[in-house]
Amino acid sequence: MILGSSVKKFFKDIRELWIIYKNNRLGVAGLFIVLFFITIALLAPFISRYSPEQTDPSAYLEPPSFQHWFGTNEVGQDLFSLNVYGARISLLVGFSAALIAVFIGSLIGLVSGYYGGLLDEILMRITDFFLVVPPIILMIIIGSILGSSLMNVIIVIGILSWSPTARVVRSMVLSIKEWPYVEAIKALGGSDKRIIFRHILPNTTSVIYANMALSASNAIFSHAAMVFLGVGDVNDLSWGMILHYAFASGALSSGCWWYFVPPGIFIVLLIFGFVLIGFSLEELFNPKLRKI
Amino acid sequence: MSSRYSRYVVRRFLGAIIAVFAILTINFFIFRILPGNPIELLFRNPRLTDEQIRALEAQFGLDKPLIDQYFIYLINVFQGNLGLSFFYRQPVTSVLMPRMINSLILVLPSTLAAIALGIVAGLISAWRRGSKTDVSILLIGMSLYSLPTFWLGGIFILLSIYYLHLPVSGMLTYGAVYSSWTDLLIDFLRHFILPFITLTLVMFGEFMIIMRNTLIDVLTEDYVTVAIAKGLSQTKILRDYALRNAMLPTISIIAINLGLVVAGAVLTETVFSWPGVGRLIYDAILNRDYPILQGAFLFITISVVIANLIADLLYGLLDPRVRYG
Amino acid sequence: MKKIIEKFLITSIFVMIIVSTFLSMINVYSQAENIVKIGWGGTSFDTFNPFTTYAQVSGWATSDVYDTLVRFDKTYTKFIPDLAESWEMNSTHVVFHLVKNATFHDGVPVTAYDVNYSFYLASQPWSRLSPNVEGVEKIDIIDNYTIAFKVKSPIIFMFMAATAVPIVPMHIWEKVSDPSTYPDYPPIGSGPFKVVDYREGQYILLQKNPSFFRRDWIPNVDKIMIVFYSDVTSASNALRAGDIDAVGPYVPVAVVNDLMNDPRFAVFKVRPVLYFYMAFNMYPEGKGNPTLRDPVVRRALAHAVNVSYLAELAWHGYAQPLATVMPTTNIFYDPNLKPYEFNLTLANQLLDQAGYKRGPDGIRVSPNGTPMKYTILVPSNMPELVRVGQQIALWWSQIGVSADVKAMDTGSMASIIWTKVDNKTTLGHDIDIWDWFVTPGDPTILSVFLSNQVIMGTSDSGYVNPEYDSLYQKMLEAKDLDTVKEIAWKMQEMLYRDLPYLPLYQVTAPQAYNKNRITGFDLDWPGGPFGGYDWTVFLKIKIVSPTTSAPATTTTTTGLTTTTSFTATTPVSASATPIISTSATQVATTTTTAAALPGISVETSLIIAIIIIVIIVLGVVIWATTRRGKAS
Repeated sequence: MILGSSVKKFFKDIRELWIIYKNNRLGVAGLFIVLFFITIALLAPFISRYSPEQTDPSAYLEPPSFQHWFGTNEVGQDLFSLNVYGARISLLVGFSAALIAVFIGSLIGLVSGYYGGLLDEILMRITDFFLVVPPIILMIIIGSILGSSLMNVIIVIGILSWSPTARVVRSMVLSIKEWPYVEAIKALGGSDKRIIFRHILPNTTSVIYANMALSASNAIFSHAAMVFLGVGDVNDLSWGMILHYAFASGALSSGCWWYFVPPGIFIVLLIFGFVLIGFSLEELFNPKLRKI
Repeated sequence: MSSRYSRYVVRRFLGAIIAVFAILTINFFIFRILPGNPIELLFRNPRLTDEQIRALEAQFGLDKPLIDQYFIYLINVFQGNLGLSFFYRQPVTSVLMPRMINSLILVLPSTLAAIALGIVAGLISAWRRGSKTDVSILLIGMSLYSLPTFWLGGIFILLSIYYLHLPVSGMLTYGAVYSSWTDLLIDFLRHFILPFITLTLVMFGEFMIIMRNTLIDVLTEDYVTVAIAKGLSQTKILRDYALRNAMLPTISIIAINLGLVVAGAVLTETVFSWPGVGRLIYDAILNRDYPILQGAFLFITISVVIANLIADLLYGLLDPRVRYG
Repeated sequence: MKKIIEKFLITSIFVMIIVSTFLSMINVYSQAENIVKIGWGGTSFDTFNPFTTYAQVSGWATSDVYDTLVRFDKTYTKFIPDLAESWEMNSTHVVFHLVKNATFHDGVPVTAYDVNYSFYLASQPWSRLSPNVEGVEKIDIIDNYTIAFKVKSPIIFMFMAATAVPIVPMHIWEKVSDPSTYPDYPPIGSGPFKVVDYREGQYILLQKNPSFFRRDWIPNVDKIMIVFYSDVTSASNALRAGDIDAVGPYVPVAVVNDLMNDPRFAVFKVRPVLYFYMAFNMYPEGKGNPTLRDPVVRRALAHAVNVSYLAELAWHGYAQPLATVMPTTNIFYDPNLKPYEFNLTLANQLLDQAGYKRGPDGIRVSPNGTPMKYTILVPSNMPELVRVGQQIALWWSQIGVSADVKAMDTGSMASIIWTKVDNKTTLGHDIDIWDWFVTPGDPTILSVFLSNQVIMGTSDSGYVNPEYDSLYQKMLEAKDLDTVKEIAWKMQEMLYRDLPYLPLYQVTAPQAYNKNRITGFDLDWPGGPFGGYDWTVFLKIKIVSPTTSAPATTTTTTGLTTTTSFTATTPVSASATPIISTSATQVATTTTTAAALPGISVETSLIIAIIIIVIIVLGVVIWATTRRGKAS
């Protein structure tokens, strides 16, 4: 019953959010970009005309043509198909790493903000530490130690990028905690768990969504960077991998723009989509920014 | 009040010291769970017998219990001894130091330029918020923020191949004999300009967005509203009220985002083969040169922690409100 | 005031554009001095210590800094006197007579004691040369300039030790407390070049040693700089930009066409010294998939790999399929072996007959229940190998074999392959794809398949065959070259049949140099002039005089056509090396020598440069902020 009501509340929240959100044109544009890539990722086998794995030594670094819309790479694979399939991995990484990051971040933010005291101090020092340490270097090092399967990469990115969420959620909790009705429930003897999850968490959803979108954009960027630097699973057909090969094989230096430009544009567009969503949501909860 | 500030200073210092120790500890243990025996990695000689390996382990202190090794490591680090590079067979510090200077040569001007551009663009955007200018600046900022550094670098390499014909690797033409100062400077600038633009643009996006949001916060403060009501000139309001007050939060946010600068530098240096720490890290990953990785990581994280500490202290000194927080 | 800010933004963007166009228009390459610059994009330099270096470029760069007793010529069958002016051999002894006027770079004469000490260092267990000097039983110093070696086989000693052990000064090395970690900088040798400068990760500068004892070996150029690049792509870019005069160890296939279309460059194929193979873990005590120990499985897998397709896929005309464990340039290469035929039906049949039935998921299972699922390890620094692995996995999926390609750095690969279980080295992987550089005059590669090599950490196949081991011992004790060859062929045939390795292809990589700048060297040395083998290139290289650039252009054209025609054909033979005739034998003339900046290092000047830039940027910021005040 509790589950049912919280699901209902969740949908109500989303609906309310959408009513405000849909007025933000940039945000809606971002949503459309992300939806566009989700469609491409789902329909990849129907859109692409070749198997992305099919090699062909005779079609060596061919520029775009009617056969190969985006040209071919140095082993004769069809770059259009590779790019289309690449959307899958990037989205997967974006969403799953963001989920991990936001889950850890919100949990730490909630606990730290609600209980305060020494626990808060310790958790926040840890958060600061992760905020300050350049994540990409740690990711590369841990990634190269743990091995480079997609799962590991997602976990590493997720675990290393929760700190911004924790910070923001904590500051939200600090102010919500002071609201009269929360204090009233506390006085009435509501359990901490109940207060945190039933009364505080729902009020931080907009922040969490915003951070989710920003984390996703970060995760996609980090993943592409790791793969580009050679820390990643070589069997994943991701955009970062296309860029990695374009750079490592020397195709970039010989001016094969069709190899290098499209995957980058897709990465930029997808990250841009998530960034737009994130910033629009941020504006929703920060009334000062909302005055656009 | 001064006691409050000193308490703030003490807390910040303690925080920084704890962070440094955390970094040292993480650094030690991460590199101890690696696969492979460090001695075998260092000597790469399959013909070493077990006794020889044991003798070498004793020489490097690897036969002691982990906790002893940890303290030996700490002592060594404080003496500036970061071990021997697997690959270059040289002390890590002597490999790192010249690379550090090369990195600073690239990173410092780019960061300054990005901050300068970011402040100016953020200022326009915030002041005219909601207008077309604002939206377009914001969009430019966001798209630059979304640009993967290495891709932007690659685009410049492509441009260079087709139009610009600038060198795309290294910092100088090695072995060139320059006939004059200007020759050297021009050669340097020719190598410098593309990595510089890449790094500047990528950071500009981030800084511009930070600056805009901070300024919008400041511009909605009461004293600014009053100033506008008083009919003060735009310039005066912006310079005397907004910019001055927004400077502080910007400094601290930029300090926190120094990690971003480092990430950008690593990727830019890799793409352009700039002989800095970033490129060294990339090569060390390829060669599995863990002492170098460890040393570079230590250098970077500790300098970021120190930069943050300085920013925090400055912030506390300049903004009385912080001390109560 | 908004206008001013906007103007500032626009101006700064314009300034950037103008500055970059301005910079792109000027060229400041002062190649005035008599100095040749060779770019290296392979594995980076590690150390000068000749006994511990494993990087190709380290050995190559010091090949003319240290002398050896004798040298190979480019056929790798004849010996050229170096420190030894003559030598005598019987069936157990080799006696060398050293030249009397040789001195180290610090002026100390080279004597038999230095030779003895160098061989002592080489035989130490930490030395990479210890397998080369295994056959040495005793060394006798007869007098200051005569030294006698008692050896198992004189001919093997000449091929493996006399040509390989660098002679280092005893008076320096005996004072070194730990020669195994000694960086040896600056290296003191007795060769025609000295090292005058070295910057880690940047370059090595060699200068000619005018007092070298062999007058005809004195180099033509004053200085040679070996410039390090992070990869061959950046090195090729530098060649095109005019920063360097040649590129080694090869230019990437993707840029070959651009270089060929540029009249400044000569592009040519080198004689192969590098080959790629796939190793199956067949070690009886290994931890890998046990189905690989079945010879039928290995044969079936070999029939499901199209080596010609892979050579084409990875190198586009610059590699040829190979059937044995050494490239065609090796003097012990067995030409009778042909690659296994690519035949998926046959592969399927073999597995069916051996009782490997397909499971419900389409993957075959061995009679005792092990599924044919393998992991293929591939080094990540060679992107084309990953492609090769993936292509092989695609073929194998058609015969009911599942393979997962894992790319990693070579260090991790080695730690997976040679894992330690209970303090004993064993093989932990299934399959790996890797490469061997094989010195053309050296049968050592065959030692990789000896039964004890797993513990040594060299065998990645775990081949155990006592018959093979005894053949190898016989070869090491053989007294003449023909017997050595005969035994080596027999061993290769055994390996072909038992398939510890499936050889894939050998690489006739393209190399390139700027023919308007340099000339004088051989192009048909195995591995090419810039591949890390040719020790004569530094001595022979000349700078083309600017006035005679016209004949150089003619040579170019012939060179180009030769090269292109060779791209079309892919014959597997040692003579298949396109040779650009280097008839342009212009005498090097020293052009105007520009004065180097006195007393100021590059670092200092760069720090000054950065300060200037910072000041400019700060100035612009301050200008922007103050101008706003005045404008209103």
